[in-house]
Amino acid sequence: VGDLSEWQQQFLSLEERLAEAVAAAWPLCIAPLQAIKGSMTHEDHITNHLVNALIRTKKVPGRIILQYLLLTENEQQLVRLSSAIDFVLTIGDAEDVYLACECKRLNVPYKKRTRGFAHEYVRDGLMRFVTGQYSRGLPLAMMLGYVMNANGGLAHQRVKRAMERSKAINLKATKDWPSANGKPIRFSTTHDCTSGHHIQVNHTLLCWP
Amino acid sequence: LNTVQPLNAFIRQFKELRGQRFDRETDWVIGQGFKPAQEGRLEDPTYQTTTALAVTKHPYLDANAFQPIVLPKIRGARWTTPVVHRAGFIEGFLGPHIIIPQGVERKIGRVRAAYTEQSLAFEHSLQAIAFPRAKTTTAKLLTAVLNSSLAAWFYFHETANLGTDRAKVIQTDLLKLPFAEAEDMPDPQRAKTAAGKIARLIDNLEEKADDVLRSQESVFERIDALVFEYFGLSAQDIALIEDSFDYIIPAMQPRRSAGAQKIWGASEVRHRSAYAAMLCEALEPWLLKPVSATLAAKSGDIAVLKVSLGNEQNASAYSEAAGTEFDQFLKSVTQSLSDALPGNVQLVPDLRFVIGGDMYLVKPIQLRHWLRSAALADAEQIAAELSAAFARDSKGDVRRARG
Repeated sequence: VGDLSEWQQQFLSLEERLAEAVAAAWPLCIAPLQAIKGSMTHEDHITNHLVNALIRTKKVPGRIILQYLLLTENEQQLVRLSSAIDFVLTIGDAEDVYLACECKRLNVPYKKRTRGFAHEYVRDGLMRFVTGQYSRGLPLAMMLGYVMNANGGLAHQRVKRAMERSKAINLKATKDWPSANGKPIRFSTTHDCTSGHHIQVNHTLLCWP
Repeated sequence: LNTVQPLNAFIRQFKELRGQRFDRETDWVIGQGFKPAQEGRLEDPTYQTTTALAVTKHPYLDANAFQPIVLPKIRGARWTTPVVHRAGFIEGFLGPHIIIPQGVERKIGRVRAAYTEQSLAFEHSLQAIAFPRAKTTTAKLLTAVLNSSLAAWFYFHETANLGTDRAKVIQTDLLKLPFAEAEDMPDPQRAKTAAGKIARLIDNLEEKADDVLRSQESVFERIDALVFEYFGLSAQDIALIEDSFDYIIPAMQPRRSAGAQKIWGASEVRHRSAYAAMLCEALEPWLLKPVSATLAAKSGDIAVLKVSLGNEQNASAYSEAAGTEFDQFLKSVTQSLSDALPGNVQLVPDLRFVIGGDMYLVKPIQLRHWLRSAALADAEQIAAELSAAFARDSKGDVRRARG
């Protein structure tokens, strides 16, 4: 009961707190992986380590759930388990309200060349929010990009270009946030979803030195 | 705790070895003591018995003589007959070992474990963890952890029996407890320091194990504090464990003689003050400004806490001095609210209302609503409501635009 505006002005969102926690946990996440970088560092493996580091830093509010499975209903009203969100964060009592986080690798060095994977970031990551496969009806979601060659600026440019080329993501607005040297690159995008509502996706690009 | 391996990652159960030998120099194994034969059935050809000389070889430890943490020297008689129904984990009779009763004394609420170097024979209500001699320090550390309120809290939430059925922790459940060496704990440096202190504490207790007048109450408190350090727990984690151990677990299955449980009684000023401090601490990371809390009003069965957004200069310590009568308070705030309050505030759980920078929490006076763990749950619920409002109104972008 009452007007929350004065409190809202002073409130740090769940996404802001998670982004801060991710930035703090990232060095702890990659430290044990450094020795096997390139072999055992596909995105799920990195995400497992990141979630472990997030839990151990105790900076994440609420509950973090790895590989969050969703029940989806098709046109014949048949229910099945759809693919899992990399991880979600929930607080309070409402179980269907969660902050989803989808993780993708960017700028992955291979023997002959480095592959950007920006198109895959958009097609296999961002699109899941636009189609409502993830975070259906929710206003906010989050994506993490693991920049494997540490070139965050280039990864950001490539993702921007891939988003500009994609009509399917129904991009309505983009906004770059100022980021300090050595800190993750942050930007947000807003999309019209297939279901009619719009969703804001906040992106954090984490550079692996 | 989810990030720490469970005991079953390195302790095997004797019953699952199925005849495989294990190496006492390298392996950790847990198993129960022997099961005596029923004298009246010895002539029954269908009744299984076996001969185990080991049960007569070592002093007999009666379960009633068990003492937690370290055992005094057992000088009792030996078990008289080698004929038993089941021999049990005979290798576990040899010291050093950790001995653990399956039953949990409701009066204590802790799983009890004792470290001893002495070889002992015991019945199946007791179980022993045999460990490599090179891991003696780790075994002492594990003994302390098993006796801690953290373990009691864990077993209460994670096991099938405790709290719902018989007050016992079965062997399979016992091995679910998270435990690892210091370097694999969430804060390895903090864990290493705590492990050293725990080992010294157990060594001191071993030296005094045969003293007749030894108090265990203060020892448990020291163990709890050191185990919290070992696991790298925060003040908020500790509050959850202490509230569960001190108030919630005793009230779940109270003994007939236990009388009225504290949790149902009225809260006192010290409880409300601790609640207010924990609520402010839990809200602090969510807000750009600090918050403070005081009691705004109180009746015989309801109290209202006022949580105020402020700054470092005007943040006030918790006080109940300004608290007014509840009816008078309701009349005054109703004028400031645009929405009407529910007619009967007692029927509305978690009633909260906001006037400017002040948030009012209307709560029943009973202690269970003023535990520190309740403060953490309330803080999370407030954050969830503000998150929902934040997402709805996109005020975050407004604030960021304002710089």
